[in-house]
Amino acid sequence: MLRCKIVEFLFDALPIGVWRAFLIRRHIDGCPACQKKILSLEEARSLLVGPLDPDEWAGFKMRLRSRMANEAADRVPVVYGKPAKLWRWASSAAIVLMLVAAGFWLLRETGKEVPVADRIRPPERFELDYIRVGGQPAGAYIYQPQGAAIIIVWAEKAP
Amino acid sequence: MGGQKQEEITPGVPQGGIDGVVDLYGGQVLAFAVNVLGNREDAEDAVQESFIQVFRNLGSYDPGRSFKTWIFTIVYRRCLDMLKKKKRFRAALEKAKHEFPVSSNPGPAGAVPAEVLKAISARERTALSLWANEGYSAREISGVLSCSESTARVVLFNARKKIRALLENHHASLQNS
Repeated sequence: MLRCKIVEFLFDALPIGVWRAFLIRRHIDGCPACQKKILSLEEARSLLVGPLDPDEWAGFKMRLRSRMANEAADRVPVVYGKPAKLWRWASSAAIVLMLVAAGFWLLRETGKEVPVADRIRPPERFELDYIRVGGQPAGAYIYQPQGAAIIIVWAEKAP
Repeated sequence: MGGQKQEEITPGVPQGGIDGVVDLYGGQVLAFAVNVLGNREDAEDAVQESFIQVFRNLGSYDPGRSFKTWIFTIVYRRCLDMLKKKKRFRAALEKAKHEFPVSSNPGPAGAVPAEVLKAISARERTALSLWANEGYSAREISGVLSCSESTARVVLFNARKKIRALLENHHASLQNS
């Protein structure tokens, strides 16, 4: 009896499903005293509607069958089993293929080589106000090789 | 009806296709729905909708699972939908009478005492019905309720405990009067 009270206390003290299920399994299910506090199988059966006899639901069965027949008539026949699985696989494969194609196209678009002429445009005007080397004004020489698009700036410490 | 064809190619489905399924499980499923909803008319609607759903989704049935449990799961969900709809409908009409839909038509056996069963939730009624009528274990009940085995065990225990307490109170009040 004391054990039952302890179990009851522990059951109420920790409202966690796993813990409560453990207590039910370990003690309550096998304890006659605790079983008296809960509804027995026979009592539950007497309270509930049991499985119906065929004549108790014959009318409903008729209605149900006619409804199912209507449903079957309205329905486009679908073949279950393997073909349904095949369709699922085919649609998945189509989606994967579409994704791969889209990825390939995106990669191709982003990886396209930009023409050199667009990348390096010679400046129309090049100007230097001053140049300092080591904090001191320095001499500057600007050189552009003939026909090249680059400009070389040479800075030299003033003597 | 198209049931024969489905039965031939869908493994795990009982003999006779959808007609066979209705014959085999109709009575059990209807009683189950009456117990969950507490009303024969609603139960018939729920069972009709459930069988149509079964018929439509026969191809997606997993033969590794019990066919009976699959049907009960569908019926349970339909019953919950129906209870939710009724609740919304009642709220809209401002009929806050806490009226359990049992009492008007208590089913063929007339065995559902509204005041006792309305004290427990639809989930608990489901667990109780599956345990008492179908002999389901906590594991099987958890399959229908879509919860863990522990939760199903506790739900069933709570249902049994609550009803026992209510019955004792009822008896005590009868004796006092």
